[in-house]
Amino acid sequence: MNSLVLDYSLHWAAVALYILATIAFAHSVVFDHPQRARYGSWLVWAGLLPHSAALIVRWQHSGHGPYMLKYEVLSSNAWITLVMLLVFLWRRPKWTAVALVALPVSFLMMGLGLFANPEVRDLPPTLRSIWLVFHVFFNKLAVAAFVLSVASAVTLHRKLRGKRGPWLDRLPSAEALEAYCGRFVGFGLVFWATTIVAGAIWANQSWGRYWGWDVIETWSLITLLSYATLLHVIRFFGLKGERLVWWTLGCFGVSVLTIFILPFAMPSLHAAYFQ
Amino acid sequence: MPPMPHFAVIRRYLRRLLRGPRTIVAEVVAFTAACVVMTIVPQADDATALQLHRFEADWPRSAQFVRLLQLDQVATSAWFLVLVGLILASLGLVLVEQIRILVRTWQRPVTEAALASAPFRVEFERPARGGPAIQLGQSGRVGYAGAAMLHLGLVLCVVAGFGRMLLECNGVIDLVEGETLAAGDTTAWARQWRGALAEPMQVGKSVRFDKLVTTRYPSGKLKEMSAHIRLGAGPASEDHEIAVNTPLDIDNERMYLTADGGPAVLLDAGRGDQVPVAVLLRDVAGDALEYSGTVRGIEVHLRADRSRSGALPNQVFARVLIDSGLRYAGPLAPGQGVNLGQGQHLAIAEIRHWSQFRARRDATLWLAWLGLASGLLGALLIYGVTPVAWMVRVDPLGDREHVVIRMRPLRFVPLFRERFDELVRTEGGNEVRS
Ligand code: HEM
Repeated sequence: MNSLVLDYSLHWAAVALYILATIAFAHSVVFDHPQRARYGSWLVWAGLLPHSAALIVRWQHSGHGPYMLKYEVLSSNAWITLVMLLVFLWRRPKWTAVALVALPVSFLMMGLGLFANPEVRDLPPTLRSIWLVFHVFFNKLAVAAFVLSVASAVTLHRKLRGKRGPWLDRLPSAEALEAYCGRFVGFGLVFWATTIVAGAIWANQSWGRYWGWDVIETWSLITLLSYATLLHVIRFFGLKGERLVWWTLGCFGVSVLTIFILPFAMPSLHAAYFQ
Repeated sequence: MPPMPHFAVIRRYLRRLLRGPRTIVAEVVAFTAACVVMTIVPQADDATALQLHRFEADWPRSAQFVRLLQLDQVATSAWFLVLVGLILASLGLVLVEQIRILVRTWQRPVTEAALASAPFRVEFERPARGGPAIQLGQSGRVGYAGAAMLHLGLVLCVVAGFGRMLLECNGVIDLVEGETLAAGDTTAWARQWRGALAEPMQVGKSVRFDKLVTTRYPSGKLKEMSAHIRLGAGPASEDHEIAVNTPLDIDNERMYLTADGGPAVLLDAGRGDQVPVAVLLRDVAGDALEYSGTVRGIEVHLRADRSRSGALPNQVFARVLIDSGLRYAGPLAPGQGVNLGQGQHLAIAEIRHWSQFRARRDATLWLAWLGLASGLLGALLIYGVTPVAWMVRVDPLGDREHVVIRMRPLRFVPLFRERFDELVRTEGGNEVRS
């Protein structure tokens, strides 16, 4: 089997398993069978096997990590988000509802990637740098942390709406959800800042400048500043409840704009990897 | 009327204003908005004339407004500089305050009084166990330093940015294999851009570009590229390599290899035996590399196909004119020449590679790295290490004991419920009342 077909088939197998995992989590949450949530986790683990294999096959075939073009970028983003989800569920097993947001976001990202151009692109010499690996890795960690903050915010929203049900009652208090939301945003900010710093070191090595006000560079700063504003408002004015939910969603929107939308819409030195 | 009280009042007002939470949030939001503007409105110093023109044509009304508010040159506009000044002032005040609090918190031991209003509190009785009457402790103290380090990092980055604006110097130069950039030469650079206080670009040692080495993918695209260079002259000279992502430090300057360039044609032109002139073929359109210009009074147009493997062409197609009259059109290979009449000739001595190099001097770069490191570490401390203070007080009650447990995490309070419950359990409390 040619490696592209193998990589494609493994990806689709992973998507199918993630969809089954979502159904298992939904069943556990909606019909109040908390102990059955473990089937969901097992299915995510099962999905991660073909998913990891697909990424490795592609890595070997292309000679570079999964960071060129949508196909690779979205798939590896989903991979990191799901690994982070599993780590989180291992630490906080009661929070299965978070999986109901993180899983669909992840397999939709993968689906979007799978319908994009699967061509393998040669890595230009500037992209051959260990700082690229840090840059990309921390960016994916940031995306994963932001997805989890959104998952906490959406769950908080349901709880605040007065929605009741065994699964919502089992979730921690609204205060704990708010704290988690803030903490995920905080971790996301740290990872995002690390992405920017790794990028700055790399740009300094490669182009001879650590900052150049390029469109995508500037939008990554705008994203950082949006999240910083959110954290200041939480810290200074005790932002919570529905407002916290909407602020979190708004900031997530800015990060999505920076990572997934602007690289198509604006000419930038940083956009080639995604187009 | 004594002027001092006024001054003190104004100072206090300003301090309260600049340290006010609303002001701080407004400053961060305003800076964010300025960044958004920079990406939407073409900026005069890096947009092309066409982009600027198109913006004016598409948005005639906004264009006036843009010019009035200097939105097309945000980074150097007066309002932006004022905003950055305000941010620096707020950050300075916050920093002084945070460092003071840090020193105080660091030196002060945890006391029972300080935990009087702790969010987690429980009291219970248990059979007497003995042990100390009061235990006070804290973990994650280093987390207190987070906010100060983060904001110190931001200040350093802003200062480094200003330093760069004033002191940075950049130069771009195209060198042909075998060519030497002389030490201290400030005129050889094809382009220079520098801050108001920066000295012109020059390098402290002569740089001879010996050879370009490239490797390519099967598709023909460039995979790796490096330049072998010789630094200095005479017996003390040293061989070095500059590659993409591996620049070379030459005293205070750093030199980068930025583009593989293309073929350089060394022309023997004119009337007699003169030193060959190197002309550079550049990517003009599609697969063609071209040069057009005048060499010792002879109008020369050269064209070569771009090879997928990056190899130098064996020959070029030449069109040669003198006083607008065509004298030659046809292929020319190294070692071949044509007689142009009137005692003039044109011959190709050799074809070599040329490459583009860039040199940069940034005296405040270290400050930027220090700022980024401090900011990053600070953010990591804020979210990775939460300081937690706790107390267990035991009062004897005959053969039983009255136990008071208190715990205060600095942030994310609800997330410390489990830790508190665990502490209560180990102290023998089976019922939690907090
Ligand atoms: C105008 C500039 C700024 C000022 C005056 C300022 C001021 C402050 C102050 C007073 C605090 C509270 C610190 C404490 O609790 O001890 C704070 C917290 C914080 N600031 Fe800033 N800040 C500024 C810009 C920024 C920026 C640009 C970032 C991020 C890139 C940032 C990130 C943070 C973070 C992460 C916190 C901690 C929030 C928390 O307690 O959860 N700040 N800032």
